[in-house]
Amino acid sequence: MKKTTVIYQDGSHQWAVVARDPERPNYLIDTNEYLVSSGDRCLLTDPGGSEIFAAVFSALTMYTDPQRIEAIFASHQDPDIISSLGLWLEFNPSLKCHLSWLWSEFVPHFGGTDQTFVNIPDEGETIRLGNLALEALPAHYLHSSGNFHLYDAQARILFSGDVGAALLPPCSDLFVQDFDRHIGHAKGFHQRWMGSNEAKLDWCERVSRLPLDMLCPQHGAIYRGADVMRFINWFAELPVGSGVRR
Amino acid sequence: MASAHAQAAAANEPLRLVVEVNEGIRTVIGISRQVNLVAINAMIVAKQAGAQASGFRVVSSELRRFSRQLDGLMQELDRFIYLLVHSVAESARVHRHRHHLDGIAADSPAAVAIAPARAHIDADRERVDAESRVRWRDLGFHLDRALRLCGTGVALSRAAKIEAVYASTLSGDLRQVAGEIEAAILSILDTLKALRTGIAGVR
Ligand SMILES: [Fe+2]
Ligand SMILES: [Fe+2]
Repeated sequence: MKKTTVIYQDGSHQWAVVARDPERPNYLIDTNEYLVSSGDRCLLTDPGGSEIFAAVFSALTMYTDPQRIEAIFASHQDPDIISSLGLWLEFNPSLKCHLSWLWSEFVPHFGGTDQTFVNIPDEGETIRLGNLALEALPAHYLHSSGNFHLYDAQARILFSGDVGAALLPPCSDLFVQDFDRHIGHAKGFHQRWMGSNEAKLDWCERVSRLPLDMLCPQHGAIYRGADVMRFINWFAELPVGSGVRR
Repeated sequence: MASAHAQAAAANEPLRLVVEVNEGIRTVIGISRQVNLVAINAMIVAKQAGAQASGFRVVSSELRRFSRQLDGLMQELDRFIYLLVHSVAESARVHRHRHHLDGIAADSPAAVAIAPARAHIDADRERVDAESRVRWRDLGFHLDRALRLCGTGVALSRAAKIEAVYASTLSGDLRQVAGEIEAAILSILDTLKALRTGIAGVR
């Protein structure tokens, strides 16, 4: 069973993470889903694949009334990100899904109609959730060609999709504890999954200027405090695109 | 895991059957067109043979009509195949959808929250399954029609054999032609019977 943990709280403004499913079959990658709440309105980031819908839904329901989830933010089009969309829509047909315009004709294969999708333009946009303004931050080619991260300036949290992801041993800590040990589990993933050094440097440059307390990836552990900058610097130095034979 | 594999195999069963039926239909169409060609040939030969082969000529033209009718009937089956593939895909989707909710513990708050969605999917599943049953049944009816038509075809081919004997000149040729037609129609009959038995087991 997945567990929901609150990682940020300021009154009714909250971030919670659904993570670590010990019953998940080995052939499925473990994912983190984040629930951003503002008052009684919620947005869910990268809700995950349909195979884990039951686990995510159950864990969220222990924490909040799932009927409050009015929007989904999909960082990109991958099945581990958004293939559960059809099931979420069975639960709430009026859910909105914020997603790069690039995938607007691809992701409906997982469910939804043109009523469902809010297409994010390449330059990004502001997503309103009650009083809260969340920024869809361009992160194209990291790894997907139509890719966004979600920045909450008030909470100083960046949801970073596959950037910062680590393939950790089961039951690892929710937060990065020892950066040097942790990053070993992230290296291969970033070298192979991220395709563009140019896109990577552009992202590092933009993100390093943001006030950030937490960097929250879709796989692995959350970077806090000084580890956020440590990660950005490490990533800036890392040659990516290793799938291309030189 | 074994049960999941068994489930997947069971889910593939209808699709395998649709593919088989589709192949059977292609075979029947192929043979039926051959029958048409042979019958045209037979008509020409019979015309050359003159008055003594007039009976054979009439039967040959009946055989042509039969093969065209069968061809038409088989073409209509194409639509059934399309609808069946659609049904099979729909059914797989909705069963899978439903299966994804099984992980929610029965007495949890999540089970309560998801109940309307679950009921909706169940209703969908029933609709899709009922629709698919009707489509398989209709396919069965259609194959029955084709089988009855084939009965006529067999009778015609037997008549052609008899007429070939009456048309004493060239009777060797005509007898051979009549034999070919009979063999072709019997093989159509076999194919259709096999398909009919194949789909009899579908709910
Ligand atoms: Fe991805
Ligand atoms: Fe991912």
